[in-house]
Amino acid sequence: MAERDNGSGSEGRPLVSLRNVAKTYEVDGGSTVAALQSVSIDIADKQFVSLIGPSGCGKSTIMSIVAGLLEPSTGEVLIDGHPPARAREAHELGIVFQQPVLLPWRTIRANCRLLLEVAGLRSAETETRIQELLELVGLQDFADLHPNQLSGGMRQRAAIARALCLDPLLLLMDEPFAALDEFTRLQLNKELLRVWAQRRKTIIFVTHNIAEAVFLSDRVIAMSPRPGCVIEDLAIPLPRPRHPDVRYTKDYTDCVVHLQRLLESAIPVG
Amino acid sequence: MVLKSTIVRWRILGAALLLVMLLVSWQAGVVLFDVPGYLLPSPLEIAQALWNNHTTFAEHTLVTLGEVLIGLGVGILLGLALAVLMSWSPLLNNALYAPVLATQTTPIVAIAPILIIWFGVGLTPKVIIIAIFSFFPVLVNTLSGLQATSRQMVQLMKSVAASDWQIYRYVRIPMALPHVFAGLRLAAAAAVVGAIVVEWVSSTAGLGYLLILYQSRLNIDEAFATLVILMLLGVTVFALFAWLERRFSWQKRLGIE
Ligand SMILES: Nc1ncnc2c1ncn2[C@@H]1O[C@H](COP(=O)(O)OP(=O)(O)OP(=O)(O)O)[C@@H](O)[C@H]1O
Ligand SMILES: [Mg+2]
Repeated sequence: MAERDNGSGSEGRPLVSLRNVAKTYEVDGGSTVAALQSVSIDIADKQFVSLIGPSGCGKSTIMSIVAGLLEPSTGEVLIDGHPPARAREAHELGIVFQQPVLLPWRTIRANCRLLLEVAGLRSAETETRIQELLELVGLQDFADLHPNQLSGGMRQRAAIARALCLDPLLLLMDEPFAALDEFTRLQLNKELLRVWAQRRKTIIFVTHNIAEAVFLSDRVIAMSPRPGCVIEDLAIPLPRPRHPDVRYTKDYTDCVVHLQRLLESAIPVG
Repeated sequence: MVLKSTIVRWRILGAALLLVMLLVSWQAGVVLFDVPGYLLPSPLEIAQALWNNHTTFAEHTLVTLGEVLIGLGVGILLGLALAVLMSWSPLLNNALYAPVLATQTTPIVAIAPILIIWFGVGLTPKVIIIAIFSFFPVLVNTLSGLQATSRQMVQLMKSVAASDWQIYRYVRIPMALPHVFAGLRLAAAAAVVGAIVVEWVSSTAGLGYLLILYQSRLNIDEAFATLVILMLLGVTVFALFAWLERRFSWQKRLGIE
């Protein structure tokens, strides 16, 4: 499987652009950890991109740098042509973590409202939007319950709805389904595609699961650790909308096998 | 809900029953073994002492209660303010850590006379000492409560450019509440101890003063009666905060442990 045109920049400048981003952490004691080395990635508007790679290859570090929560040691990140700080102020970022991190004293609806309140954007219109999003993720009947009354999968759906409440340009998802069981994960994969079909966002999706990455993405970026760098940037040639049955096609298995071989060779066994 | 209130009722009944049994066996023990009254008075003798001196007791209880409430109020405010400052700035945390610890390792009985020389025998030294006793549990618990917020929650808030103040207001402070209430209950108990200590050192009124007075006169019944009031005072203040906690803590309200 050869490199393909990733479609980035086909309509002018990319939405997200990392240029020679490197990150070295200072660990106490004076020593340093090189987490990322010269990573350059361009992501087109409305593209669904997965980051994949073994533990410690800097996926979460990339997410933090894109969100502007962490300064790169060298290089720069632009979101829609501006530094991440501006994207935060313009409420253009949505984040979903592995854990739902909901506030236990707020109802699901109020949890979705949290970021709107902080941004000072609460209105009758946003209440309607919250209701629509809760319906979209199938939580309309649970909107007025508290997080401790919901299952893990439902909490993660709530976290997704919350991330969409500000109608962001860019959705950063760091292993959002890694803590869920296989059935719930598949279910949420399908739902995420449905949500994405309705509210087209640019998504950067981190996962350890090759099959999940291929099923969801337009493009899968594979990384290798120590120091983290991109070793493959693969366009996924599967049609949209994606039906779960694409997982039984040859194109799909080709992609999965290719990435699997690549990542296995990247991590020395033993 | 019905089930819960029934359980609570049974629990209260059980506790009351145990208390009565304890008092009855105490009374029986004192009578049976003919324990001399100057060693251990019987519950009935204590009750009698309480009744005979009830105006004196009421007067002095009010004095102590006043000191406790003012000192506790100051201590709580101090504890909360220090906790917010120390959780907000690592620099302040480092700077304040040693002095705060020093207030707890220095024997209060040794500082009390100095404070009295500085501030006279009025309310001020008493409030200071009670505050020293009570701010610490509030500070320690609130501090760990304010740090209980996950890093991801903070990142989420920062991803919409939330200010430090907003992060405290929407996330850190509510998250800390259950810890704060635990600190308040401990502080309430500590404040009563502080009040007695300072009244021992120097005072012309209050339950601590009364206790010393009765002991020096070998009025053992009255001394024990004073102890009972002190116990009740501690329990009352403790219960007040437990009630506030039930009323205002989201954790209790949602039944999350
Ligand atoms: N705050 C930090 N201080 C020091 N080193 C760090 C810090 N955060 C991450 N690292 C190091 O940077 C490297 C990349 O970490 P990162 O969390 O980005 O990996 P990851 O790809 O997200 O891993 P995982 O798949 O396990 O989540 C690791 O070697 C890690 O030890
Ligand atoms: Mg990670």
